[in-house]
Amino acid sequence: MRQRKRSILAVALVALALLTATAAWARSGSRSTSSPGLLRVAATAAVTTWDPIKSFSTEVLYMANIYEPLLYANQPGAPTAFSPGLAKSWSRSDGGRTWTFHLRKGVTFHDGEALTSSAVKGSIEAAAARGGASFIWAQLKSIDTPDPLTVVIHMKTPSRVDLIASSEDGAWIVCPSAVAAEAKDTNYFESGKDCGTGPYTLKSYSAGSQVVLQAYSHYWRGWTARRYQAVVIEITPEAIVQQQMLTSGQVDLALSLPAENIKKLTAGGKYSVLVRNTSENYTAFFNTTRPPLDNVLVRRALSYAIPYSDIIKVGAYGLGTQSRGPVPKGIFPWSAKTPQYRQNLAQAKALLAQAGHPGGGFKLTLTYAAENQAEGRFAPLIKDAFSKVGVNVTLKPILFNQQWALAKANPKKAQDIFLLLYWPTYSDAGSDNLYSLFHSSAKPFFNLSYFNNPAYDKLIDTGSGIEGTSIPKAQGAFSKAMKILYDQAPGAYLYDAKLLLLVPHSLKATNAVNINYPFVTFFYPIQKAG
Amino acid sequence: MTAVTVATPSLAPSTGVRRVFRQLRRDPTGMLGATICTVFLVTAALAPLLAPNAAQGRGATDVGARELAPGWAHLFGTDHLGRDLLSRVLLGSRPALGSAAAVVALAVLIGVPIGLVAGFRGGLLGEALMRVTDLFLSFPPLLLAMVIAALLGPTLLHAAIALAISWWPWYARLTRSVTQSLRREPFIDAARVFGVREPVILIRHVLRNAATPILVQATIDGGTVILAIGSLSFLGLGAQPPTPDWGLMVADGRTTVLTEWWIATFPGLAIFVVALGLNLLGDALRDILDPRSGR
Amino acid sequence: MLHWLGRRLLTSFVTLFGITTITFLLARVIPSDPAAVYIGPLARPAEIARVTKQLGLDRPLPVQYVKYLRALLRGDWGTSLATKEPVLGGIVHRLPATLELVLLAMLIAVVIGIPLGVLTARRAGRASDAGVRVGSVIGISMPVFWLGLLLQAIFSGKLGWLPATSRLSLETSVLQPIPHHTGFAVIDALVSGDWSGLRDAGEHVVLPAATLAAYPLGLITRMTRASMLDVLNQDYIRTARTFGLSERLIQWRLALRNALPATLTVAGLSFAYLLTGTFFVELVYDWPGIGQFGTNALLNQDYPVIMGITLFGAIGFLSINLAVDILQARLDPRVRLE
Repeated sequence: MRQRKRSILAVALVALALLTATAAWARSGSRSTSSPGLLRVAATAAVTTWDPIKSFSTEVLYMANIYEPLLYANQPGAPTAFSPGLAKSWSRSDGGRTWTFHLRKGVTFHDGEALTSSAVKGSIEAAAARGGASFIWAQLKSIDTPDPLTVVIHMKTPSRVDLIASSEDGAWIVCPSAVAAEAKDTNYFESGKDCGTGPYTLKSYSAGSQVVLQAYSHYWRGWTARRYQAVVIEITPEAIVQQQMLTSGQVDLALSLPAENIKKLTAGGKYSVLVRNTSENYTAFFNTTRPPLDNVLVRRALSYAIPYSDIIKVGAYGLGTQSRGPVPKGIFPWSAKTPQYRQNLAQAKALLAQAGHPGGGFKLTLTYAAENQAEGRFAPLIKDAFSKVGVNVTLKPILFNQQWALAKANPKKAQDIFLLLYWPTYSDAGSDNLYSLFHSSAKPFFNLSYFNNPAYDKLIDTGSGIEGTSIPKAQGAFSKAMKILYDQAPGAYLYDAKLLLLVPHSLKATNAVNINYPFVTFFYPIQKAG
Repeated sequence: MTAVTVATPSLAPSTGVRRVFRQLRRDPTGMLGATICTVFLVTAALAPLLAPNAAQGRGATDVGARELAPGWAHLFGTDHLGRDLLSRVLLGSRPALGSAAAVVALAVLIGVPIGLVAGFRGGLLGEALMRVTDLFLSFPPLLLAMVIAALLGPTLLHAAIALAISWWPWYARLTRSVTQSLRREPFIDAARVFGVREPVILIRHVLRNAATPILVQATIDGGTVILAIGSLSFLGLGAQPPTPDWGLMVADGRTTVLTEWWIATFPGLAIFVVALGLNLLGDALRDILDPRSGR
Repeated sequence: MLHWLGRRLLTSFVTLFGITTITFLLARVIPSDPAAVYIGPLARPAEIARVTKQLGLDRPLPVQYVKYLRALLRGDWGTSLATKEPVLGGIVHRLPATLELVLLAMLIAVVIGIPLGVLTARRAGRASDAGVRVGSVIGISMPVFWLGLLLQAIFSGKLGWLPATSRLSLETSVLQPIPHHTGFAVIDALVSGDWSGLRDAGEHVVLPAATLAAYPLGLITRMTRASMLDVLNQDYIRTARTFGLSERLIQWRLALRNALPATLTVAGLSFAYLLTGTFFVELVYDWPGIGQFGTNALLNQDYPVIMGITLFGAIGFLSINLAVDILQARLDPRVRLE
């Protein structure tokens, strides 16, 4: 017996010793010191393809650092609308049908090839033919290359080629040999190849987990000691994990932090805050094909019932501004004159009674994307607010792909309310948002209110048509269209989203973000502070 | 498909309920389990009355009271939408009990008849049925449920269906082995000689004997099912907001587990305690009713 | 034996075929657009139509199924819609990370559980025995995701002793990578003498492995204790005692040997649990293994990956069952392989 007791005691002592040793060892500092030339970033950006021509998804974060467009769209409020990219100047002629771009001299691609007008022509034609966002070049007629540094783009109708060519999807300039190889082998880029002119090259990619970018030494803007020679991006879909990586010193920048914790993180004073206005916004579509939402009075009533400020306070943790129509602030054709609803329950009740539904008394199904945290937070607020006017809402979170598939399948049998997070492909929400979200179509795609209003359609068609010729005239048409969206209320326009980038004091990150480039953080402008 | 001899369950006629209670009282851990289970059942039944704020428990929000620490006004604190967490946890006993009961009931309803037929008939039909059973048993347990729930679309109902589909094989096997051993008993033949028809024999004798091990298995399974449902909801494949599902609440509180620790801790604690209770009770029942096969 | 093995392999094959069919049907019959998953969030109708054709999604279902089966037999398990990597390659690439966790968890469970079960079986009825009994039930009743969150919050968040997430720090994986030998970070670092890498890998693996080990630890402790109790009451043990064999010999050599088969079954069962347990542990700890691959695929509706992981999991599960059965037949002469 004593023997047994003694051996148990021995085992316990050994275990205790091991435990203490481990704890001491672990506490004696871990390996989270940073390396001077390496910028460590945590991002959710998954890679669906390495092909810049086909790219149309979250990998744009990497594309925007490896490739460059002809020109960049500037933030609202800047002195000029665009700044030079690979083109140092450009001009418009023939009423907006012809655009001439003068290329920068001495720029080389990552494989050493020189940037010439034929390279630009090849890239754009490839994008127009088989790009993921090929539709932006739908009006392309032909491209001339009178000399190696001049590109002349001819469009079928007057177009805003400056805006189109600044897009983050479908406008990257790729070296000719890669374009030719990709034409023959559609998987050419997938092994991790790149051939751009941008500041970084793709050094390595571990599928689904890590991207390493290496500085391109002959980048035409040049390098200083303060800039980062290498960037490692940990692909982390979970915001809370990014936060843990940031606070433990594992990464310098976390691009997606949980909204509910940002205030606490900034309170400590460890980070300065860079506000990113984005071109993303939330809209609630009302199913206009089915009672009771086929009645415009009911839709208006519900627009008055929505708790706009609570949604922003709770859903977005304050990171948002109430939308004026479906066009995000800072993107053409947003207008401060577009009216917006304010929550007014009395008005809502009155309108419901007027519509023949005194006291509400009907049920609605609301679908939203189950994986969207913000929607998950504010959908219950909409439900609560509607219950105050007697409307009973059933919330149905569904994974987005299914939510969307169901909504497109049969409008008569689909949801009553569809919550959607949207953003324009390039900074033209007239031909994008206003068209995609509310123009009638034979089969619904993003028009998830199934709105069918000929007057609206006409205004949008007019606006898009005249945009290449006269922006003010286009703005006029679009503004009238947005007024219809207010009056007819096929949807409720919730808020334009804002993001905060927490920048540690060791970095300076001005110019790293731009509202015209959603999902992109530019790494080249990020420099070491001090 | 395993090679272990399946311990045939006790063939004594059903033990009196009184005797079970008496033996249970002598087992402290069993009593603990029974107490927890009783509290759970009572809570589920009376949840709206017990909860300080039943409406919030069901999902009503209170934007002004968000993320409050536990205190006198809110014993468990409030969550990200200002809802009283105690009420949420109490009302969460309903979907927990409902879905767990649904899973076990469905599994029994599917598995027991299949096992009966396979055991009694034997032959080709029996073999085929057992092959199908083995097929479903070959899925790694929770994986099939996750796949079904993900593909059907995440709701509590789909999660329950998915779990039941993974669970019924156990009951089929159990019933089949009981049936097979009973078939050999002389009193079955005697009953047949007296003209009692087969279905009656099945129902009366076999089910009566199988009831005990099935009950024990169901109780033990109850704990596992509660864990499984919580896990599915945590991933986002089960209950959806605003259902006060415990697993969903833990997922909700995950991002703030360091600062607003109560949001994730209390619902998880609820899952743990209920699963613990069911496991303890199941163990004790097995010890009492089936002394040979269990511990 | 061979005859049995052959039959068993044949039935396993049929089972796998059944599993593939079921998963395929599930994946292709639900409302979701694989082409949209492939392209990304803002796909346009023209693009979706093009990709639908490219992926062969417009062919009738049976045709797609046959194509899938033929590819499977060739070793082509399809391509992930989301990451575009080959499914089988992706699984194999992430397998070592998951195996590292699973094996370590099993090791912990066995090394602690079996001795604990043996020791308390001797003390049946005493306070320590009741404590261990309740302790093991606690282990199997603990929701693994909750336990993970708590351990993470306490040991990393509050105390700062261990890192919260990932398998290696970025410094190690990018700047000073551990030379690759087996794919197991801890072993590779040990073998190459990379001490700082060893420490890094060790620090990162402790919490996830401990979280994963709770359930099998509880299960194995319980089962060992129970079967030890069973065995210790047998006649031949009493006989051995009267013959004067020492207690230690009886316990550890004689009784345990006979108690092992039941423990083995349980170990096999817990391996199956661990397969799905890794989904949650890898989620909470951002561990780059198969579990994470699977969770992302489930939430993204990436059906080729879902099918690949289900098939892989089923193969693993069947193999473990087979191994357990063979081992049991070896250890326990009473067991007949039917």
